[in-house]
Amino acid sequence: MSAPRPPVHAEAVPGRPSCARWVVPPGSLRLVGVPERVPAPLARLLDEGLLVHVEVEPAAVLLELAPAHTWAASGDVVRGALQDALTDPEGWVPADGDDPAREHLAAAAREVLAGEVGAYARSHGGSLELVAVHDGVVDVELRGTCDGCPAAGRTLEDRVLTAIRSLDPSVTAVRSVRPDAPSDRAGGRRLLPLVFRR
Amino acid sequence: MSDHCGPAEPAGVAVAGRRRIALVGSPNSGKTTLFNALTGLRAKTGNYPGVTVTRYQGVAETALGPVVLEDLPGTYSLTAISPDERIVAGVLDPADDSQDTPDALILTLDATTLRRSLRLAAQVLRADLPVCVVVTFTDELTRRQGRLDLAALGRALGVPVLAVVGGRRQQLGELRELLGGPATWSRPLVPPPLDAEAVSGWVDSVLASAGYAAPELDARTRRLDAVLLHPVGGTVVFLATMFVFFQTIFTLAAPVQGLIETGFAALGDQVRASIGVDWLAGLLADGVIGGVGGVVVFLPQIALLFVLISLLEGVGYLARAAFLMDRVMARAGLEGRAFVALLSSFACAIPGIMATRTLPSTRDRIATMMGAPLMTCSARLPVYVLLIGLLVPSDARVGPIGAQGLVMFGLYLGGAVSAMLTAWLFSRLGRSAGPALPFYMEMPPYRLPSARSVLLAVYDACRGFLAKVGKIILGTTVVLWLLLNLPAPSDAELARAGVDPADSSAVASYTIDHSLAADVGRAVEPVFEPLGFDWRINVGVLASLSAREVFVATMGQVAAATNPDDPSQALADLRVQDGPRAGEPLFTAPVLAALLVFFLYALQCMSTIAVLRRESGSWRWPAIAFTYLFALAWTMALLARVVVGAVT
Amino acid sequence: MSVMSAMSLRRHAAPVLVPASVGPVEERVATLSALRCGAAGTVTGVVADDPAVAQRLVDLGFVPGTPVETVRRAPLRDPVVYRVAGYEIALRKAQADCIRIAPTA
Repeated sequence: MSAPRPPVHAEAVPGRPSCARWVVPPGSLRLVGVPERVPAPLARLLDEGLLVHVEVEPAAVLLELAPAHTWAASGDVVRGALQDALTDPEGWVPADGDDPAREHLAAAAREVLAGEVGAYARSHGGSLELVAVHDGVVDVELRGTCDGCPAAGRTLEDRVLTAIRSLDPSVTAVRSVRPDAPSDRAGGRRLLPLVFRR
Repeated sequence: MSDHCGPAEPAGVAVAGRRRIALVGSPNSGKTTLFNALTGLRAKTGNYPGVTVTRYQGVAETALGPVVLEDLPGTYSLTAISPDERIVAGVLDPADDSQDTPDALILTLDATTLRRSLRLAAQVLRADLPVCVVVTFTDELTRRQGRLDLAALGRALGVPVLAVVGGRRQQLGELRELLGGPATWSRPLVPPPLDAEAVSGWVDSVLASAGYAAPELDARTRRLDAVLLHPVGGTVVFLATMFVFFQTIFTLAAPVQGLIETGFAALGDQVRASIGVDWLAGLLADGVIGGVGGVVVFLPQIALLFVLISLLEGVGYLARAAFLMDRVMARAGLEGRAFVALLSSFACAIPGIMATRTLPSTRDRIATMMGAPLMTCSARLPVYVLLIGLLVPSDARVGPIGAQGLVMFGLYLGGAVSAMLTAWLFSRLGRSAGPALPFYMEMPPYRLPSARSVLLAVYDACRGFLAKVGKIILGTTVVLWLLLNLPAPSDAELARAGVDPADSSAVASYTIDHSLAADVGRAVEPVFEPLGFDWRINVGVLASLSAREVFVATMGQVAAATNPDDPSQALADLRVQDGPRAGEPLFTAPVLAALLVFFLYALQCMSTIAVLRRESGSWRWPAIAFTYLFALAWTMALLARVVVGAVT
Repeated sequence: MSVMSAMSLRRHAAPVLVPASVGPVEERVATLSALRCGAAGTVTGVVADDPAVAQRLVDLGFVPGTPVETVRRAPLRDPVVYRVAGYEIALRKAQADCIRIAPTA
């Protein structure tokens, strides 16, 4: 029996009908943005002109279909190609080789903070800001009423951690930093371990 | 085969110009509950053209006016293997001209079995129709520590998703809003895959995106199953349940039925007394009122049966009972679920045949319907009592057991065995038309059915019975009355025959003797001659076509002419009037045995024929049943006469 | 195409799984019907004479790679309730014979 193909499904992208956001298993790709090169099955579809654009998001791949084609007709072909491409993570070459894994985690964290968890904080009059990402640790700054709110802290961090993990399993911890605390954005070395004001 | 002409146009629902939305989903997914909640009491049942699959349609109010809602048969897959599933596949396929394709679909998904249900969703979402998903049992999912993000599920599926739990008003309001405009529903951008393994990947991916946590095992169900499915305990509970079930239908309905009979008899007397014209009074009192009474009298049994069946089914016990009985029923080529239908037929074949609706396979449904009329129904009892009384002296004993009771038991047993054999035969015959359906039966968690859904099932069954079956029974009763009472003898004719016109029973007896029915009785004498029946028995048999117990009354009227004080003795004293046996007693042991066996087998029940017509969707199966059972009855009666004749 | 061979005679065999041979290749295959009460396995494939039946069993959740568990046997040993894909379903032996499994230790 051959190895099972990675599970995927496609979601619509608001306002871009030719684009499909293919949700892929978290952790299957460790890069974000438009890759320099993609594995052969997908590259072939680009060469053939079926696909015009490939972009990697946290736990998703954005694929854009050439104008002449429809997802209803080409969906099965593209799905198969994408699944085959996912079995070859090395074949996905990022455009700039800074630290693709870190960028992936940062993108995942940004997506989470912009999404439901962030909305939860905003609904309580506060906000969450991404401070730094390093070695699987995400530093988040609690602003507004979040800062000092006893409901923040552990619960909020757990929520953020769970949400980020669903996009990037390489995340190991989420830490909250005080707004006035000096932070080292590049390396993120100096960070307070879980301190909240009473 | 079908009596529908033209496209599938269900009776009673104005389809023209209205949007049609079909409900699709697997069995036990809460589909019918949702249908009932949306349509209320305005559902109509009919049949799909050409097949014996019941079609449910109703009108549902939406934000933009009423739409026709259709409750498709429950299915686990669109790859059809049964006629019911072929209907669903046909309805969903715009290229299939045999079924009208609806304008949109509602897909019900049970939140507690989402991993399986999404496989059906994958197939349904490939149909080129607007789909909206209704997730059911989300309350149970939460109770069993499961989790599901509906908004994320909607994004992953690409269609509108909302939860409706047990027909809650507010959630239904949202659904009605949505149903107003299927054209605005989002459609999946990329249709789900087709290949089985690719579907698994799609399901995994969708479930992960929707943050699905499968529910834990239902502790309540596990505890109950430990008892109810226990090899010993479960069997005991099952037998007790079935005993109570049977007793309820048999005994609880009897007093109500007695009241109905008394009531209609009183009404008939009232009519007879107040109308001066004898023949009109007779037609109204015996024909029409008797006919209506003959229909209404079944209602208590049907209502009770459907209360019990929908309770047992709604709770989830029907699947357990079927599980316990499956091996036994498999001997007859049937499955466990047929047991309840056959058991109900001990009370009356009509609710029994209606109970076959719980069977998923059309072949099993037909086979069970064919066997059901052979179970000893309560209408046979008075006939058996009368004939056994003539056949066996009441003090006769076999060992310590009364011989009369033994004969009665033998008849019950004979009926049950014949029913199983007949079901086996028809299940076999059906098999030649295609391979047997695989057996699988979901064991749903124990749930409390809503009173509303139980009442709706009862209401639907009773209304359907009155509307469709009532007409047929009423019609035949009137026709039979006419046959038995025409031509009406004039006073001069009575005087010539030496009958006192004031003696009503003598007049009745004379009228029957000279009626059209008597002519028919004489005409069919050659057919029944080998069984030892004379024309008077033939009239009784003919009259019992409306209902078996009429035989007792008819024979009573025939006998009453000779000895009005003791009709039973008069019957015993009846002599053969002509032919080679002239002068000999009519009711000899072989003839009585033949008559008993004839009643065991023959389909002398217009109500059963009418309900067969309704439940099977065409006249084909009632015709086959009548012919088959008549041939069987005649042959077995002849055999009984010969055997008993040789023994005595 | 059928793996429904020689299973019925050895229902009381001691091992959890009764091997059956398929085709010319002496490959050892276990089917769901041989799984003891309370034992678990993983579906490896569904094979039936009628492809529609195989398809239906897959649609019911017996997908390769899915864990499956024997929950309870009927008093007369057939049918059997299995737990698969988060729900319980009763199958007769004829259907359970179609489902190939790998036992779970």
